[in-house]
Amino acid sequence: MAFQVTVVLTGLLVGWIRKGSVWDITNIRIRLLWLLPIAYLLQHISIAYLDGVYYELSIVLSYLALMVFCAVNIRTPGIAWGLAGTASNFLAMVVNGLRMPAYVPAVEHMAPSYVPALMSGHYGKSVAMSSKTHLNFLGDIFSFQIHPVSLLSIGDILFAIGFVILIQHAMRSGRSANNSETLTRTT
Amino acid sequence: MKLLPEPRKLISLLVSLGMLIATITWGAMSQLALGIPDWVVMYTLAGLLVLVERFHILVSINDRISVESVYLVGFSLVYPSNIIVWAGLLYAVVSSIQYRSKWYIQLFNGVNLTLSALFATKVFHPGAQYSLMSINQCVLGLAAFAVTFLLANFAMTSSYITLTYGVGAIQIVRGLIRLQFWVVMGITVLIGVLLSIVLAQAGLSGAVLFTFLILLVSYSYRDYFRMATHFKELSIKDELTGLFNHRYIQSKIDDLIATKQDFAVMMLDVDHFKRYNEVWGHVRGDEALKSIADVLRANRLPDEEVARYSGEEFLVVLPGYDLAQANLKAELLRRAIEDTNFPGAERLPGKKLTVSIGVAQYPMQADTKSELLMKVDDALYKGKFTGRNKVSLYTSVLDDMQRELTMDDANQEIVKTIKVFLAILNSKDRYTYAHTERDVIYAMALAKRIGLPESSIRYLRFGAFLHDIGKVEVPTEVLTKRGPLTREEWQIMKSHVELGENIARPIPSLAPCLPIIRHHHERFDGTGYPDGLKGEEIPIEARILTIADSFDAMTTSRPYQRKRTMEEAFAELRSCAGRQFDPDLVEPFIEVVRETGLLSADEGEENPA
Repeated sequence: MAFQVTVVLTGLLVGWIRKGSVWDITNIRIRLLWLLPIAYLLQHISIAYLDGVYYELSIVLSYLALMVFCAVNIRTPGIAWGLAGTASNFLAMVVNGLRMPAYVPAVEHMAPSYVPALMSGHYGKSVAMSSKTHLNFLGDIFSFQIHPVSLLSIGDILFAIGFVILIQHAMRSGRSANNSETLTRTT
Repeated sequence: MKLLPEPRKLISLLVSLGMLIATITWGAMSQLALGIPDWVVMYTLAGLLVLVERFHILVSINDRISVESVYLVGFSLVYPSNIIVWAGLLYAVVSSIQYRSKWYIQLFNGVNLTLSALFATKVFHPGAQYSLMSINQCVLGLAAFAVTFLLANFAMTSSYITLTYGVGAIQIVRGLIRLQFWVVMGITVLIGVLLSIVLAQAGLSGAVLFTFLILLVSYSYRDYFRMATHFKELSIKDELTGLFNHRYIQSKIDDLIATKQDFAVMMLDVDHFKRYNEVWGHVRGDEALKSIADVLRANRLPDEEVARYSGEEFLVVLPGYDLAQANLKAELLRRAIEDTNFPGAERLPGKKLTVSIGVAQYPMQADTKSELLMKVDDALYKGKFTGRNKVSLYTSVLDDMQRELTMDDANQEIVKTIKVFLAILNSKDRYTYAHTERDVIYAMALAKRIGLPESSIRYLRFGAFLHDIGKVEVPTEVLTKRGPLTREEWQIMKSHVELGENIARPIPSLAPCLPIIRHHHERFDGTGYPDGLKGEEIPIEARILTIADSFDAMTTSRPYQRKRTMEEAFAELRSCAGRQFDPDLVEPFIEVVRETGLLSADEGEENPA
């Protein structure tokens, strides 16, 4: 949670420094926005309640929804980063049986109580990173140190960068619109 | 986009890609594989590099601290080279993708910096014991590291520029190498060393903290430099028109003269602009000036400098132009402005907003800036006087005199003296000088009309030009006195004809001009001075000049007399025919002035400004 909050705040801060306004965020035009909550919901449900084929189906759907959303909005600033991040995460999961490899020392550092569950099978969507898992460098290897701590993959970070860019862009979108309005009025 | 890039671009592209592939191969062969903690550092470094690449810190207009160097130096002092290699290459690829058209240059920059850092670590690497405590033990090592980094970077950059742009480009590179350049490089490396200490002590979170600092400094410096450039703009730009201002163009001319370059100047003055302002108000007047400035800007070629010189005067500097080229250019501008529609111009004489342009050239026509500006001004006013909306090159009757008459060196010297006298006369009484120029024009026109022989016309021209030279000896108070002259003053004033004759006498080739100078105040009825000649006794050239001289005096305003309109002046000429003027010359004169439009019809309504 702390990571998501930090990302949003960073986006707002950058937007504010670059003289944008929070009220202009609504000006941004994004297509298929409803895909986002669906993807989030699917992911949450699959991790918390589902197992087996249903888990797999649901998690794949969730990533596909996210990637379709990014693909149709690819021209909006920041979305390309989001697509790269999502694809990187998805790739890491696909090659590891739809589980995300997590770096065990980092998990130990973050929440030692999860380690036994992780070592014996999986915890949530995570599996323990080992020489048997693939593309480990795309797995959850960063520990975000602000409380509550979380584990991040490079894909998460790319997605976060995209989100920051998107927020600050949205905050500044009103300025160009207003400017063109005044211009047409004076001419 | 062209399918095949031009050769220069192709070389540049191939070199960049070649370096990238070579470094990747070398890295894959020789570097240890990354462990998971190494991946974290690698991602962080690459990410920070991509981020700060957008945030250089300006130190002066030309020099900037490249923040990527700071990070590469800092990280390569603390972390092993296998991390640096892959982070640097990842940064080079990702950042070059963002550059679109010039991506290969950014790719080169990225690979170049990475390789420089790697070379430097080969020379010195503090290893695992590196910390705040040990820094004093490795000062020499750090210096060697810094020097290697800078030299490697510099060597690769120069080779790249030479490969792509040829040996000539080395000159440009050499121009960049000043003390300031090395100071900035020094700052860059030192900040990098500081970052390495932070990394050694606090790890990656230290780097993140450091990045906040760098970003904020970059942000605030950027504003500061924007302000500095803004003020610099203000000091050389004219606010209303956005052209350069008087100060800038003066220093530009100084520069050109200092570097001995040929150039032409033209001065543009908006015709009847006072009238335009009076009719439409100054707000509309300002708008018109802006539109004129736009036309000038649109017709400007690179290298040419356009400035607003004063109220409604513009000065254009044309480096490398001779007089003929400048004349063409001036004609182009004049026509462009004539063809532009200005709202409200229908209330002006001619129903159009036009400009008169004077042109002069350095070094052909002047040796100094002030002389050049004076001459271009003279040219402009000659154009103003002879009908406006025209281009006038600076010509001097004196120069023609030197060219056309055979003179030995001694005489040339005297002509130079006369030039000095004219300059003195000009400074004493600007009216007399401008008046002389106009007299020459009138007298020539009349002489041609009545079919005077070519040789006489030539001497009439020089005589007319010199006719008032004697006034140089008349005190300024008398020359410019507003009230009626006393008897003594009048005597002094009258003496200028004889004084003038004496000044010109030492030049044998000017002998035919002497009677013109001496007799131009004789009257047809014999009541003139100095000799009281009558009728045909007065040389024909002098009779011509008398009419021209009087007509110009009547139609220009002087402190003691109201200026007459053209028609009033004609009436006056007619009424004095036979008394003051040769009656046979008055009608041809009126005709020629009317026909050739020497004096525009509106002349009576307004000052010739």
